[in-house]
Amino acid sequence: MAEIVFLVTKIPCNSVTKRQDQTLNVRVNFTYKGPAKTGRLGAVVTQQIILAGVVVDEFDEIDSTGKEVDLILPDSPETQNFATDIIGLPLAGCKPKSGYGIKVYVLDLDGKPESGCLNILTVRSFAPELNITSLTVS
Amino acid sequence: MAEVRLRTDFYGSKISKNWTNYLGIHILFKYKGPAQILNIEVNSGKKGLFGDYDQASPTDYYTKSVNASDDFVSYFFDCGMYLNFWGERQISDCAVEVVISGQGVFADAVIWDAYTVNL
Repeated sequence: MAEIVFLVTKIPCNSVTKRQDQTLNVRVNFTYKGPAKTGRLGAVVTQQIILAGVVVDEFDEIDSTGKEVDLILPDSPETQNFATDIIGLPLAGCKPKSGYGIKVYVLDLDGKPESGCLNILTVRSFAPELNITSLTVS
Repeated sequence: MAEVRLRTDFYGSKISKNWTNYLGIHILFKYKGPAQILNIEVNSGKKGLFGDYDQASPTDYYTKSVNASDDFVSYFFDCGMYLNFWGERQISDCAVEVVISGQGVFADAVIWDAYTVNL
């Protein structure tokens, strides 16, 4: 049986601040035991949905930020550690605010293992500003 | 709610010109934000009866590329115009208006008493 034994999301530091025009890189650490196999590894930015003070969804996915990469797993009779980077999650679809989370998931293997982190990403706007500072003639 | 956009006022020293001359216009502005191409409109006029700006010349249109930056970066833009639109009128308080606009930004500036013409 092919199974992801343990899946951990890791980003470069505990909390990250990014602009809306930037992208986010996510490193995923996991352990695998099973035959050689290919699958898909995905990451997506999430937000908590709170209604009337109650958290109704801890990991509401912001679809436009999602990105998936191919996962090539070697034959692993014993549990092995792996790390895969998912580069360039677009943040343009995120409103400027703090408290975003990340969710990672695996496709095409047994089940759909997933893992996530809450409150690790702040997105700020990239609103332009312009001031005319001098106007002269000659 | 209507957005109120104030014009920035600058004041010149009434450089002496006549209607056959060329007027050099020099703009310095600061910008921060994503890279984009700004539109620059330039025209000349004079102070109106109520102290407002009366445009007398046609508007000249230009563009200027600005780079992406988190912090303000200064940019120069130079252009000019011939003053033949005044004809032989004698004006002592000619002004120049510059409007810069782009995605999410707008700035309007006038230099009052920029030059005299035919005096």
